[in-house]
Amino acid sequence: MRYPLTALLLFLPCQLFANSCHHPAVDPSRVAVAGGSVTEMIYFLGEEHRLIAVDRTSNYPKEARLLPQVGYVRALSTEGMLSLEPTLIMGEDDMGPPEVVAQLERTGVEMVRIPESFTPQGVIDKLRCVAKVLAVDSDRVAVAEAKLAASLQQLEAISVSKPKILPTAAVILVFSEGAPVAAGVNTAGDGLIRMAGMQNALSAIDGWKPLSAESLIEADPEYLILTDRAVAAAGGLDKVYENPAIRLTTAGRKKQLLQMDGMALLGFGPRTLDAAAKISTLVHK
Amino acid sequence: MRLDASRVPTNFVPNLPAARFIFLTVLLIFCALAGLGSGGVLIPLPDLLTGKATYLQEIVFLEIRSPRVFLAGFVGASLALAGTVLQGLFRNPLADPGLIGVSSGAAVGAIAMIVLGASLSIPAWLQPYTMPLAAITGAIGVTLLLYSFANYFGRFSIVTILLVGIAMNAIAAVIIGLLQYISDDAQLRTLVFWLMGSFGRAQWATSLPAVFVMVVASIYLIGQIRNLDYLQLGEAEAYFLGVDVPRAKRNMILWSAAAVGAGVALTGIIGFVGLVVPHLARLLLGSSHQVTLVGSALIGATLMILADLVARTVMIPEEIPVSLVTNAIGAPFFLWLIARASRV
Amino acid sequence: MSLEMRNISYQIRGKKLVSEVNITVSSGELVGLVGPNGAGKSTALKLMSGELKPSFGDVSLEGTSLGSISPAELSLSRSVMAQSTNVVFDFSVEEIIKMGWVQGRLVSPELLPGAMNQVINECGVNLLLNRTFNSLSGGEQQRVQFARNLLQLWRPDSKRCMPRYLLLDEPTASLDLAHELLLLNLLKSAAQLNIGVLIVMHDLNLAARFLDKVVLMSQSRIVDIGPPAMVLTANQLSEVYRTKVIVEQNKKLDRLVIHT
Repeated sequence: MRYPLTALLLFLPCQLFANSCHHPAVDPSRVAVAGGSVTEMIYFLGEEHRLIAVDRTSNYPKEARLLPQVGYVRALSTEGMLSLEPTLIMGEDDMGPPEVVAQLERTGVEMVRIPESFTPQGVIDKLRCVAKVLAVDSDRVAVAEAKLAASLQQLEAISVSKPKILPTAAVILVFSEGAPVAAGVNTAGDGLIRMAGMQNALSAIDGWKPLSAESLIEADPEYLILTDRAVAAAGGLDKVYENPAIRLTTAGRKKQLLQMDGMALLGFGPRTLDAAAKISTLVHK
Repeated sequence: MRLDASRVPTNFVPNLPAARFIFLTVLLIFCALAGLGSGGVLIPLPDLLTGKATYLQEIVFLEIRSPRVFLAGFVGASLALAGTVLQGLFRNPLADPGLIGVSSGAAVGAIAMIVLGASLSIPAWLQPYTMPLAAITGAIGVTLLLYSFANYFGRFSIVTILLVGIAMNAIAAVIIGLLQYISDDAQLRTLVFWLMGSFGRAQWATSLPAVFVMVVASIYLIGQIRNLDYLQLGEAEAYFLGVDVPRAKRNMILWSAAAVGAGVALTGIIGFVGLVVPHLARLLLGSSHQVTLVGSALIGATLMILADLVARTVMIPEEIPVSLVTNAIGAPFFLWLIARASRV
Repeated sequence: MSLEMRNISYQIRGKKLVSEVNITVSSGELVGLVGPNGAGKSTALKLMSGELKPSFGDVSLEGTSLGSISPAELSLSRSVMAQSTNVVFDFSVEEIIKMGWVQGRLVSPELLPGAMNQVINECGVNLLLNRTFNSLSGGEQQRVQFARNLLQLWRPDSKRCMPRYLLLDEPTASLDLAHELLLLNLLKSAAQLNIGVLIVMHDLNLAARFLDKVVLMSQSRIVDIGPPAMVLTANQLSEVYRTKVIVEQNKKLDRLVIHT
């Protein structure tokens, strides 16, 4: 650019919104990703050769951890990102801080926010969106979708059959100072529960909240779904069962606790469909 | 009757270490240039001047790096200046801008906005200002509360101010704890990062008004040279030498709060600078506020620019919170100061 | 031309520390406050300097009430040497003395070096100049503070300018004999430069020797005011100090000698 002063006129702050899934990216050759489930999708589509860097939430598959790190998804560094010379930055709504996102947009690097919705269709849409942005061959997309077809069918069958009484469940993300942080409505955890054909025992709560033992006991979920991280922090599944908050729930008494990788459960990437299908199989025996 | 006073000719030219001031100024300029010239994106400074720079380089330099170095310099200077003023006012080498509750007030404001602000609908043009405005409201609020309490309890003595400050900080911590508790996972992460301090969010639109406030406050504070020197002899002595002590105390506290609050509102909490830089200034230049006020500002600016430079380049492409750098430098330096003092 | 205290009372928490006290210090006069511990001498001095506000009565400087004079204005007319406070940071002796220069508005700054020279030599603190104030002994610190006080009152044309006042609270407490006499002699010289001095003293012999006017206080009240010979009588002193005091005129030294 030959006129730096024009750039100076860009003093006004802008909060532009990045484009979404409608057209392919201009140049998807060097992609930086801030968002674990987007990274998963890219590997799932076989497009991982485009990746030049990922963020700290991108732990799956294991190869992703070997890529250069841009830091935590909510605390990105503008120049740090730019130093990698990406041609495309992809992420979800939790990319931040907003000032850094705005700065990156202003530098002209293409930024794409992949929308997310906590339903089975949401996962498919995410897959298609990432594929569209990276201009993936429609054949390859079809192959990928096929891999998810079995789980998708199973989940659709459940939602169609609509049993009168849905079993209740709660999802626990972590234990924060002894208190379980559980999923209320408007969370990925809530979406997971509904996908697996169950009812959220904590539908009175909004968002992820730490619960007191009494609240969890009163909600009395029949099933408890925990992330690996939560179980590890508690010191193993046995210790979790000993936790008074859990011991006195139906899930605790009947030993109906399920444990899985956090990103698989809640990322709403390809593994989430499989996770939901697995859970629903166990529950609706 | 006279004692045998040997008529040693005495030299009363003010012992202003002019050479050292020049050195500090040059050092600041050098570090500012280093800060402007370094970063994730390679930008050879001469290219900017000759017009050979690319669009990306220009925009990174003008919109991302410059406001950042600019803000870091002024925030560093303001924190150091406020620290010097408060150490002089409280006549205590351990005084720190945190004592008057400004930083925790700003934290309460910002965190309240993070956790509770989602329900507010804010027009787009106001968006980038919501956090700084919330923070500065908190900062002013807590400082005014502190001032009112201290005044109400009578005599506005230094001990009262200190104690009320401790109480205010404790209350702020409770409020922040509550807000953290009701926050969801996303808000919690954002809040934690805000608390750790960073210049990564610097942009001209918010930096310029903040720096304006800082400059006005700094001008006032630097003007307090004589009052601060006289106060070193004691509050009664300062009064005897012509200082309106209650008025001076009030103004120094409020303007220090303005200088610190404007910075914290944008960057979050950055520790140690306000505590350590005044000592450095005294070490290099002497104890009189004639030299320490401006000296602290220069050293503070330099230190902050360097700390920010380290924070954004040491772990590229990641960025570490600048507070980690200032604490990492500040703590060992403080130990060294203590060792030095106890050897004397 | 005086600093005057009229019908002053001061009480704190119901206890009267000073009751209905009237003291006038005129320029050129050396006035002393003497009396036993707890008589209210220091409190009276603090009321005179403006550090404390009286509960009743008024202190006035050249007819104007102290309350209506700003601290800055007041600092041009009076200097106070009180109990020294701890100086936290390292200041040199020179810097401490220099802080006494408040008359920048009235006197050209070019005269400052000369003024500094003069007070430093008068107080005999030349050799202390480059030392840190905190490294000095108590007595040395008092001498330095006194130099600062003299600097505050320094004028190029002392006899023709406005009168100034010097208030001192037990200034010789840590001084040895020689320096004690030096200081009192300096006060006598200062009085001749259009300065009025009010000094709280504990040494009755020095009081008798140097003061023009003695204010004898006891239990918050004034017992007597007048020239030393009139006030410092054996009867009055014995009663006030509750112990037998002997006062005699020493022919050889030609002065009043007081002892127990």
